Amino acid sequence: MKTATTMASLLMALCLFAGDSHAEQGQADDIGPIPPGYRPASNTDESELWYIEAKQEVELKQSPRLIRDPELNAYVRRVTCKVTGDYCKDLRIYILDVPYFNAMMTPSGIMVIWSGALLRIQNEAELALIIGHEFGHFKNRHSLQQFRKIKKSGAFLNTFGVLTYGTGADLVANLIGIASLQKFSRDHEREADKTGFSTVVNNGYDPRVGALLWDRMLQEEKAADYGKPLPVFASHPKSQERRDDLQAAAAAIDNPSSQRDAEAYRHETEKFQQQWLEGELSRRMYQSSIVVMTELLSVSPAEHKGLYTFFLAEAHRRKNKEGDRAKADELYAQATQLPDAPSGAWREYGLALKSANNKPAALAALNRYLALDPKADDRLFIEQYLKELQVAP
Amino acid sequence: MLKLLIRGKFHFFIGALLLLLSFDSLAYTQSRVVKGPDGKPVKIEGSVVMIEPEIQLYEAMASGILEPRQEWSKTAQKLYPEMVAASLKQGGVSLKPEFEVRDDLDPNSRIGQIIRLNKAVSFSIRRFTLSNTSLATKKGKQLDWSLGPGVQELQKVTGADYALFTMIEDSYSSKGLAALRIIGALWLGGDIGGGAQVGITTLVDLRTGQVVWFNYIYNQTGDLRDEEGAKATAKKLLKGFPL
Amino acid sequence: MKTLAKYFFILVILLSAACASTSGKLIKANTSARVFDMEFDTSLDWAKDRFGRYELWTVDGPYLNSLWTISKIRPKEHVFLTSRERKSRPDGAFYRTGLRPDELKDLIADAFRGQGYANVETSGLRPARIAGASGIRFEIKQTNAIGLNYAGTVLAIEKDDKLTLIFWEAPVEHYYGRDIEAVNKLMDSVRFVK
Repeated sequence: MKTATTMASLLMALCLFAGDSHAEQGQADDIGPIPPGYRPASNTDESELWYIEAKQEVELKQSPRLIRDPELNAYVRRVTCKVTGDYCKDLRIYILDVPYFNAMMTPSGIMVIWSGALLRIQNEAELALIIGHEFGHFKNRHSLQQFRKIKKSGAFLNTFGVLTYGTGADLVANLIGIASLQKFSRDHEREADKTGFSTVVNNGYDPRVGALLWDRMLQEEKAADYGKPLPVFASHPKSQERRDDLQAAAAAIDNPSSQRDAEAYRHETEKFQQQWLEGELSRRMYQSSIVVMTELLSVSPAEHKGLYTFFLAEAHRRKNKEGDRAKADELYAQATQLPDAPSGAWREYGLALKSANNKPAALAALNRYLALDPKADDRLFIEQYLKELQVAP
Repeated sequence: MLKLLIRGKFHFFIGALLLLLSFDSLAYTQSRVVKGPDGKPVKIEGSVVMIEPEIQLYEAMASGILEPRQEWSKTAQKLYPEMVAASLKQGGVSLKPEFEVRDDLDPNSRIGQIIRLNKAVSFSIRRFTLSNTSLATKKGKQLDWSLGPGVQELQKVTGADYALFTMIEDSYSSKGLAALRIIGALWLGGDIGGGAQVGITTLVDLRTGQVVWFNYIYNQTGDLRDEEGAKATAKKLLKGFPL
Repeated sequence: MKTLAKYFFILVILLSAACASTSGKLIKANTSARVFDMEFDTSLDWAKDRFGRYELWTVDGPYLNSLWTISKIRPKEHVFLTSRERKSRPDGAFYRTGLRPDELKDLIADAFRGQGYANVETSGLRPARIAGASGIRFEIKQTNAIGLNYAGTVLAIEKDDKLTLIFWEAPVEHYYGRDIEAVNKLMDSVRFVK
């Protein structure tokens, strides 16, 4: 019967494209670590993957989110080279202005780190750990295995093209695409964590930072205890396990170094703090922001306490639930007494005083705000408030 | 559609749908040109510079996935402009050397923004000059878009009077898809298609920014991987070029 | 081209709704147009389209200029009407009453950021003078995912505990400068009608 014949042919065709690719596909077990200077053989799926990345790299270079500051880039490169040694010359580094915690190193050696990560990292040792972890994935070609899995699953188009982040759709939806690229197996994550950890130890950093970093990320995750967890770096079901593993590994080291190079890290990232803190607030995830800002405030140097106090206050004010207004007002008042408080601290302090009907103090604070920030965008409204405050009772 | 076939869920209605397809039934061209005060399409006067085209070639896998292919794209990137240049020269057009769009072109430079604006304009023309849609603001005008006077930066750098922008995406059957195609043709009496070629091009007057000519092509038989295919594609995409 | 074109929508959900339509209705220059419960005076021709609580006006196509009106946004609704606030979803650019002018401005700017625009900056915050309502005006700049720079202007009006959002944006290259004066006049003319 014609139908039977053609059905059989169809079934045969189904088998024909099981391993469908004009490029040779290697077997999963032939993926070993790569040496420095590695290039894949042409006409392999690996070489095609490198090509896809090369195209994305052009977009990365032109991304509106790219942070081009030469000093910051030089610093991150310095730490990357410390961590990756002979591989460093193969790596290209891109820092993107994205207010979420994430870092990745692609199979062809593109390292992308987001400003949300740089905000949360507190010292050079933690930066080395993160880079070392990603380097572990890169060196052992975990991503290639990931790529092959994704190819099979048909989710290909959703995941590649996400390096540049932000395709105009809801940004959180983008995170799902990125996360699937980074959905490594448990074994791979363990392997990468080991690489990250030994990187830290071999370079003389404090081996305890890993557990501390993951613990902080765990606290941040817990704060967002509603809906679905964010599908990126930290929001890993295994955060707790990784923290515990890193803690155990650190405990096994006799006479651990206490070198974290917090000052060097702070110095290199100082001029971006306000921008990155504003970016954090723009996520409108205030419960998480409060955890992040509280932590940052607790470790901040004296000369910047005003800045971090102000931003913690901002997170409370914007969250605007029971008790937040009072907490915010308390913090704004504190901020005005601390070094490096942004001019906004006086605005908020002044408006709080105005609400409490303390007119002279409110006038003084709001005038101080306008004096500190003559180009304030809300000047017209503040001047209106000043007029109201000057009207005799 | 293909995914359903692969999973063995064959439904008769899909067969019926596939029967409706024939080789070129989905070929489509949308050439638009500015009309002069006499109501006739304008003819260009002056030199043309080809802006380095953006060409991406994919392999269409039977599973429906499109995988970019490096060798093919590199070949096309070289062949296509050669064919366009030959075709235009044959038409008597004076050509300037191709304008290379470097990877490190500052996106915020004037030229960087003009190239991006051209994309926005191209998609707008494509969307709003279809036979059954037009913008209420453009009634009676076949082509009424501009990139603005910023194009004069390009004029300075290239010395040309017009710039030709091009974007092409093209996909070709994988082995598995080719097998399925043959079966489809035998059994269902129609071609299920092996991939699609989409091209979009604008010709911009570099003195004023006006888009004087636009073309959009869609077909399933284009092939940019060799000289002959590139020549055919150039011919299709340049159809209606205002010589 | 689908892969490239997707970088261009201004507001995904809104444009996919808009694409369902064809040419739009013509709004003639130097006339007054009824938009929901308001009237606008325009010195330009526009092609208009309306769907639900959105109205979109354009001259050359929404990638090149778009005047959006989003009417009667209620508390707990996203300012672009893309979602609602819930206990399980407290994060987002959801409207509420009692916002300060700068908070309302930040809300709208954050909504644009959430849509994938980069380098969103606002300036020129000032009161909007509209009879029977209070509002703000401000300017906005942003860059889309492929790096095309846009600039625009926003009018946000609060009336009867609801927000009406009117904003216009166009590429900085050519399109913004060409029409901003006319758009500013239009914004100044916005009034509620019975």
